Amino acid sequence: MLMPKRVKYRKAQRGRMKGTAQRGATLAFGEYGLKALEPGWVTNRQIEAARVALTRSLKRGGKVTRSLKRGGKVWIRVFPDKPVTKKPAETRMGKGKGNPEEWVAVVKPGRIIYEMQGVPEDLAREAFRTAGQKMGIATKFVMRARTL
Amino acid sequence: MEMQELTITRREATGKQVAKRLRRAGAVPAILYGGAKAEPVTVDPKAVLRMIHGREGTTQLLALKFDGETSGGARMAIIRDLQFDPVSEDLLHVDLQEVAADRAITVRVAVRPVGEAAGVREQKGILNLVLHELDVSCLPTAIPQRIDADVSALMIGDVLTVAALLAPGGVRILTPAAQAVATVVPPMAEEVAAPAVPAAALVTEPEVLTERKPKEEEAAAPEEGKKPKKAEKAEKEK
Repeated sequence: MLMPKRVKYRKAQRGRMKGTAQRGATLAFGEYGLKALEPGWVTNRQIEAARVALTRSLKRGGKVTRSLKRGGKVWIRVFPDKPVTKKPAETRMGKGKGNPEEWVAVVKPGRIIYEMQGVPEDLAREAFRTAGQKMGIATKFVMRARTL
Repeated sequence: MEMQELTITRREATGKQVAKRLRRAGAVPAILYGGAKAEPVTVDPKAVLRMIHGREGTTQLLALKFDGETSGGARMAIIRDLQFDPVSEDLLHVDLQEVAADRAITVRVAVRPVGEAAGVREQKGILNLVLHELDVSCLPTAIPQRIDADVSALMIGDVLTVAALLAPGGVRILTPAAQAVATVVPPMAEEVAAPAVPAAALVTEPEVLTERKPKEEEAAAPEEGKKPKKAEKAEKEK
C-alpha cells in the first residue's frame, strides 16, 4: 500500500479542507479520469482497493469485448502522505496523541484521483464507477475533449 | 484558418463582486488585451463553448464584434486562456488577446495520433499519447487546426518525438525536438496474488527524520535515592 518512505514528523495535525482543488484538477496524462466532488481523506487502503477494482474491471471488460484482452494504463494522481493517529479502544482521554494507524491523502473537490488511457469510453466509465464506490467521497467521471 | 465571429460587450465595473453578479446573470467576464490598453468585457459562455467544441487544444482565431456598436471594423483576436470551475466545470473567465494579421504569435495546437500503432496491433501494447498540445509560432491566419502524429510504425518501447512531426508551411514548432509525443507501452502485467501476510506484519512505519534517540540517562533505571513525583505529592498532602 502507498505510504511515504521517510517523514520528518511521525504525527500530523488534522488541518482543514477549505475550498476547491487549485492544482491537479485537470487531466494531465490520460484520456479519462475520476474527479472528487467533495472534500475528504482518502486512505491508502481505499486508493489500493479502487486501483484493484479498476484493473479488474478493465480485464473483465477486455474479455467481454474480445478485441480488448489488454488493460489500459492507469495513473494515480494522489498520494497518502498524511498520518492519521488513533487512540486505542477504552482509553481515557489525555496521555498524549494516539499512535499513527493509517495514511491518507487530503482530497479537495475538483481533484483528479485517477486517470486512464487506452480503453474505450464505456469500459472506462464502468471501471471508474466501480472504483468510485471504493472512495468514500462523491466522485464523477471526466474525459478529455476530443479534437475533431 | 476559418475565423469565427464572437460578440462581446464592454463593461466598466470590475472586481470579484461584479464578476459574480455577471455569472449569476448568465454572462462571463472576460478581458481583451494586446491592443492599446486592456479592456474588460463580457461574453456569452454558450457562444464561447460552441466555438471551441471539437477544437479543444487548438487556439481559435476570432473576429470580435462589440455589441451595439456599428462603427469600426471587426478586431481579430485569439482565446489565450479559459478558466473553468474545478468542480462544476462552468466557464469562469476568458482571456482574449488581440492580434495583428501580419505579426507571428505563439499558440497551442492539438496533436492528433494518426493510424494504429504496430505495437498495439501486433504486440497488444497500449498507445500512450504523452504530449497533447504543441507550442507553435505562426501568423494568426495560418494557425493549423491540428498537427498529425503518424504513430503507425511504433512498436512497444518506441518513442515518437517532436522532431518527427511535420509542421504545415509557415508554422514553426517551438516545443523542444527531443520531447516525446507518443509511445507504446506494454500491457499491464497480470497481478500475481501475493501470499497472505498477517495484517500486523503489513503495518510498517516510515523512517522519521527528526526522531530523538533515547538518551542514556533516561534509558538507565531511575536512581534509588529519588522518589517519584507522585509519591512526594502524596506525602505532602498527608
